[in-house]
Amino acid sequence: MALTGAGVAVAYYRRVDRRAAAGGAATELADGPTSRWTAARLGHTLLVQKYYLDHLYTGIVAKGTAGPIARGAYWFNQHGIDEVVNQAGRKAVAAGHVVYDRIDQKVIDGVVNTTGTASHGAGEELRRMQTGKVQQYAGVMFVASVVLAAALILVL
Amino acid sequence: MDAFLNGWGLTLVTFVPLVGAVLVMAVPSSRELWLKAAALGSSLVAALFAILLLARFSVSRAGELQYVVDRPWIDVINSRYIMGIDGISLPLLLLTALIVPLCIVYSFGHFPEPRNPKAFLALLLVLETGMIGTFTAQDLILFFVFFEIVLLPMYFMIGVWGGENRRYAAIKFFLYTLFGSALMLVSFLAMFFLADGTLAGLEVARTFDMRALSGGATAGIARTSQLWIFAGMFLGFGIKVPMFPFHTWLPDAHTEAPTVGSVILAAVLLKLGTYGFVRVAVPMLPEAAAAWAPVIGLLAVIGIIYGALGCLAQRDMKRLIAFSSVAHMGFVMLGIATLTPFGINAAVFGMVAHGLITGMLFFLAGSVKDRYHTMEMSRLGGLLQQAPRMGWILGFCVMASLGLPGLAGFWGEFPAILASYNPAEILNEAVFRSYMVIAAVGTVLAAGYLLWMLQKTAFGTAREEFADSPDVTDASPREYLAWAPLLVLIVVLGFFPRLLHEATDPAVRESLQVEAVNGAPGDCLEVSRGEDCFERLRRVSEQATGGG
Repeated sequence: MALTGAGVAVAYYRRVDRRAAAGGAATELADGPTSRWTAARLGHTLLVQKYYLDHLYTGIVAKGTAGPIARGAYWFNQHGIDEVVNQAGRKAVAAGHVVYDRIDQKVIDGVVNTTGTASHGAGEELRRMQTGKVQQYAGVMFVASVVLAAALILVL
Repeated sequence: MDAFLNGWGLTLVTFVPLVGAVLVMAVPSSRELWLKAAALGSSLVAALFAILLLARFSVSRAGELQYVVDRPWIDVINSRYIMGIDGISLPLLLLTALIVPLCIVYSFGHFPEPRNPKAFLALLLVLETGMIGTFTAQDLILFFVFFEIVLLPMYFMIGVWGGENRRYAAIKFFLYTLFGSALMLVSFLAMFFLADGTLAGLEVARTFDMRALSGGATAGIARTSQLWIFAGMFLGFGIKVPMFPFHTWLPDAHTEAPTVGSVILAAVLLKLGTYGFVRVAVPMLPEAAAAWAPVIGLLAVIGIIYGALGCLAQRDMKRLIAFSSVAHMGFVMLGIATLTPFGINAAVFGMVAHGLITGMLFFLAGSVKDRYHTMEMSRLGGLLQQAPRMGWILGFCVMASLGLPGLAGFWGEFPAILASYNPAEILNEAVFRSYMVIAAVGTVLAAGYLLWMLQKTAFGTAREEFADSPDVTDASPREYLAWAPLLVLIVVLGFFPRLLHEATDPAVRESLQVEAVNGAPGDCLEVSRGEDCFERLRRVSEQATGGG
């Protein structure tokens, strides 16, 4: 039986060889099983395409990794991770502007300026009291000592 | 000679370049030859001292610090001028002392625009002092000072001699790394206040002495504090490495930096981060290291895959090599994360190998740019035809970088992967074995992007615009001179990894030894329920300080 099988196989290969020499595809026969049954044709294609493993490796795994996946990762790197870094820098500068413009210049320096203005104003007011009239000074002293004495009595 | 080396060797090797920088500054700018001679001469003197230190280094005692100098420095904060090297620092010290003179030789022919060789060479020498100092310092404040000294020359190098986008890259590099250093300094201070030097045999409790801090002085620090302190160091060192997701300063800095700057960045500066892990973070806080190790390992393997994907998306040769550093340093960090002698030995080997190989790749990228005036891979090609020797050298370095056995890169990557199969007892085996698988996939991707780069740049025929370009010549004698030592070392270390391993192994084992205090259990990393071990250690140290 094995001999018969081998004989059939050899005969089939010879036929295929002749077909190939005549110009047809080496594995396909015009009146062979592939032209008669769809299942056989599909099986044949699967074999010719080596179970599509090459497509899987080159087309999907390798090209997918080097193409969309790598590009996606790099996009994430530039617009995800790196954006955080850049935004941190920009926000720090913006925070610096807020601190300088709103707090340093307005509030803190405002206080400093107000102190200056206030003491200037106070000086202006106090200047008016310096009249040079002895009676007026004595009056102020009298009123002040009364207030002080009253305060002392109240406290003690 | 020995007495001289013991007393002065490390100080000289560290500060001779700085003296050289002063010398260079003293030479008038018009005398370019004198400038070159002064710069090369002082870096060669430093290299000579490094070789003397190597020659008199006792490999059989590589686990201990040698050539130790210990002098008062800043008494108020108990910071001392302590220097010393063991088997881990020695190779990195040698690598630095080798790379800098080669960079100086390489830059002789063409200083990048706007030239100014005086400033360029002086900065390079200041940089060398900072780098060597980091590897020799044994006091945390001294270490920090050197660690920071490095930033400034590099900032100027990128900002002045860099490419088009240099200002952005320079300031990003500076601020990003400084941010990490600030947190690292806080961690150092926390350790200063919380550790107890008397546990390690010092007379004072508060200390920055790295020998004491990794020798048991930290045993009494509460677990939570340790975790926070480690986190601060993790950011400081992790940004420098750089680990995913703190790596985005690196591609910009590398792409914009002048060739010599990129070479030094890749060859030495990144190692300051990994060295920090190996020298400071892990030995001083082993308990926290064990707690953080799964996170470090995870970020490392993400870095391996992510860096590789980043490479595949690049169109610029130099940027591709920069991204490959993210992937390669991932292997180094994975080795460290295993907390085993095997893994950390692999990491130290990986540092040296990456320094040699990626340094070489950046040299080549620079030379390609000099010839073609572009790094766009779509415009390159045909290097093997136009400059065959350079093309072959590029091919060789690509092979070394993708971890071909027999070349240095292999001994950094492969043992790191192997080590994660058997991490320290205290770590979760399943987690690290998953990391192993992911890291192994990374090597395939590495081969993919590196060969793709080689194919794009070296294979095929040159484009018409460069076909008759007079600029495209084969490697010059100056380039051979700068490259030959690196190429030879890549092969030598590839065939005789023992050369390096013999020195690093005792030092790595010593650094992983959790010191026993008054008979308390040692080696807590090798106990599967390590937390209890550390807890016992803490109790004993509390008794010891309470009693004393």
